[in-house]
Amino acid sequence: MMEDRFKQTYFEECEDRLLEAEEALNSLQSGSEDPELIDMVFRAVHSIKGGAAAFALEQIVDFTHHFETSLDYMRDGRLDVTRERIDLFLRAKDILDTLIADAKESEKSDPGLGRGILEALAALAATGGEGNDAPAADKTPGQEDLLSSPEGERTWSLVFRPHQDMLKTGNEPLFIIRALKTLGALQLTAETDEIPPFDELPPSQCRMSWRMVLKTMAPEEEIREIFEFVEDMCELKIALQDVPPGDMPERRRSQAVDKQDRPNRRKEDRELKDAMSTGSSSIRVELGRIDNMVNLVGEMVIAQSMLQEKVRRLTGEGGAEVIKSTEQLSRHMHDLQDSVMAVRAQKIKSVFTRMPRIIREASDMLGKDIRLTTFGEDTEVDKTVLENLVDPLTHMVRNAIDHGIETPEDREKIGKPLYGMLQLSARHKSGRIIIEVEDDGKGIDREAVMKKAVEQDLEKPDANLSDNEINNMLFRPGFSTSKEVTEVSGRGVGMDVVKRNITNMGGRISVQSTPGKGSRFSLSLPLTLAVMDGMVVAVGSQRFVLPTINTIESIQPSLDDISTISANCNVIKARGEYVRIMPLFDVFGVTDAITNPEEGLVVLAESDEGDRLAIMVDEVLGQQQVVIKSLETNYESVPGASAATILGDGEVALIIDVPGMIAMEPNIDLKTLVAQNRAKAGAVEIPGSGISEENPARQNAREDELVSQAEKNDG
Amino acid sequence: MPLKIITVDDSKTMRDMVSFTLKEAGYDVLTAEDGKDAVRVLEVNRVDVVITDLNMPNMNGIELIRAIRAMPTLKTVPVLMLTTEADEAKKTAGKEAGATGWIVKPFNPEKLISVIQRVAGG
Repeated sequence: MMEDRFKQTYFEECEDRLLEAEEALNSLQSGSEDPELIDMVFRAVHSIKGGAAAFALEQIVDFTHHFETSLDYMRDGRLDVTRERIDLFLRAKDILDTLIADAKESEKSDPGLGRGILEALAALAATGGEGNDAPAADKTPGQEDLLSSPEGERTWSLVFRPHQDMLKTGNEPLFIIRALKTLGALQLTAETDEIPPFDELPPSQCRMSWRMVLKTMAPEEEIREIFEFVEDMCELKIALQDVPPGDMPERRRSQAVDKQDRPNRRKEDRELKDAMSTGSSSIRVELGRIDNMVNLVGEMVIAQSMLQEKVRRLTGEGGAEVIKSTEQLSRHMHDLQDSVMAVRAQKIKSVFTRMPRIIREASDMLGKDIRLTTFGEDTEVDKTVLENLVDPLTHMVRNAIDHGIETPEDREKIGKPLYGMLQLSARHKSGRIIIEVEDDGKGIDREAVMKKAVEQDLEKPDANLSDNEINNMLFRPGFSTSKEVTEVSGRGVGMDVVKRNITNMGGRISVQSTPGKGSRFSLSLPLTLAVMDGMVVAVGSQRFVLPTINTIESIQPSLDDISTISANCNVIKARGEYVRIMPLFDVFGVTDAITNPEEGLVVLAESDEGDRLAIMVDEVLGQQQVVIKSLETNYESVPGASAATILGDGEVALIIDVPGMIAMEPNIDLKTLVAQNRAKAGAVEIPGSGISEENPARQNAREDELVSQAEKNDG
Repeated sequence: MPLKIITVDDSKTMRDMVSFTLKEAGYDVLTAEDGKDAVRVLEVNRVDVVITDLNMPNMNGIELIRAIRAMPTLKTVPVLMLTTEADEAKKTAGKEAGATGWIVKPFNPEKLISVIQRVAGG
């Protein structure tokens, strides 16, 4: 229970606090006049009281209340510091020691304990408080809630006109309205007459007001409570709407119910409420439990595919039946897996709704006007992905406001609307979620980017780069085009960090930009980080998994399609373009693999950016859903592999990191090189001489280690 | 996506209880021991809600609220003050400093959560 967990801390803290109080009181007694000392005693007593109230230690609350009041009066000068008073406080502190020690042993203290001191403290407080109102007694929370009981559904009409400055206290009308919605059906009309032309509207002021009709069981106090923090910062009218005549007598009667009847009614109402909440359509579950479920289902999927593999070899009449049953099991397994994943899925709305505040703050600071539109708020994505998305997305939005969208003055000059448009959208596309941040600002200034890149030695001045390559320079570590460090997007974390965060989740980021028209940053992320669809391929005695999302087709190459452009680099003509061949046996040092491409297969793979690679394998074994096991947690990162998985027979297979593999060798101008090569050699070479220089024995040892590591982790 | 909330209190008991309640409700929680500590934390962390005690050494709650409102990125972040008394003077002082609202100690966990939802929407 919460109580036990914290009581221990509370008592420990009390001991410290009492020591502090004693030290301070002793210093005071020896003649020090430091006002901070009284304050220290006050704080000690005050915090002991706070905890005591939380644990319902009434005797301590009562005692500290009077103690604290006297101290408070002494603190603000209403009571003089005298020797006698300090003595009294010291004795009061001793009583408090005893009270706390008793409470710690769960014993009731003698009710008469410290009575004399208590009376002296009360008298002292009365002296100090003369002419002042006695300090208000602590409010018991929930008391107000109990004072009124629901009287069936009623219809209220509300007018809510926030004062202009309400936003400055961090009160957000949207959330207030949302809180009202939790009480019942809400009809809302916004009054926008007060809103000045957009370029005159200070973003930090609220110029809207609302008329609402609320149908609710909740009593008036509960409605008013929602406006508790803003009642003096708005014009608020809450009134019962005309009640149909038939309802009147009933309601009168209920209002006339004898007060004595109330406790019972309240209890009934409570029970009713509880019953209703049990019947409601959602429950709160600890995330750890869901994660545990996801892991277990993952293990079951592996076990199930192992079983299926063994069963497949069965023959005879019985075998067919078993196979049929396991296939059924397999279908259910996948449904179960989808359902469990769906539990972890959350709407992206929770991230998007943070953005208006960020936009308001950033645009306020920069003097820019921004209008935000969002699409696809209901798109669902795994909770972990969602959590890891907040920071990158915040950064991208700030970046768009800071560097993308121009100031209203600049926009006016070029004939754009004074307000900048920012669009956030999310959608599902082939098993991934695509999130885009689009602005109608000035676009990426490629010249400036290039200049900066040269200055920062990231690029040679004469480099001939495509627009896209220049755009992508934004994601290079250390790159920043902003001329000065701004408060909004700042420096230190740049787009390179955004990219790293996204890539770590198996996502990609790309940017498109038209100078003068705006930019669009697109994120493509996996829907879940736990499973993926993969194509299992064989390379010698090893197997690898290629993410299905990255594969286009597999080709049985003929030697005529293949050109060799340098000792270890071959290209294949596929779909009208030359694609570099990456033989997997070479990358991972597999020694017993097929080395003649004509005997094997190449799988045409594509990264999200559209870069292609022809991955050479021995054969394609099939497609299956695989459970992703992190290499970093279980072993160490392996170049060319993004993760590992356990296949049906219990063997570990590496999951190929297609973009990583594309980046494994520098890009070269293939067409020119091919043409040159053709002219020189005019002939076709067969790869195979280019077996990896890496020691194959070391490679195999590494993979054995990986298997045992993974087993250890599973066990 | 849970909101990130910082609870500022010089009392460890109070800090632990608030953060326990918040964590149970699924929020991310940061803590600070006084106003100065909170400012240090807030300089490097993004938070969605600040919950602060008023009586604290070094920098008290009212001073902290003023400091928060002076920070460019926190101008409109919801700030809730924890008060033991239903003390109108303190509430007024807090509101003048820019506080969003208040929570009366000892707090009722449900009430704490509903207040957070009312000021931060989640």
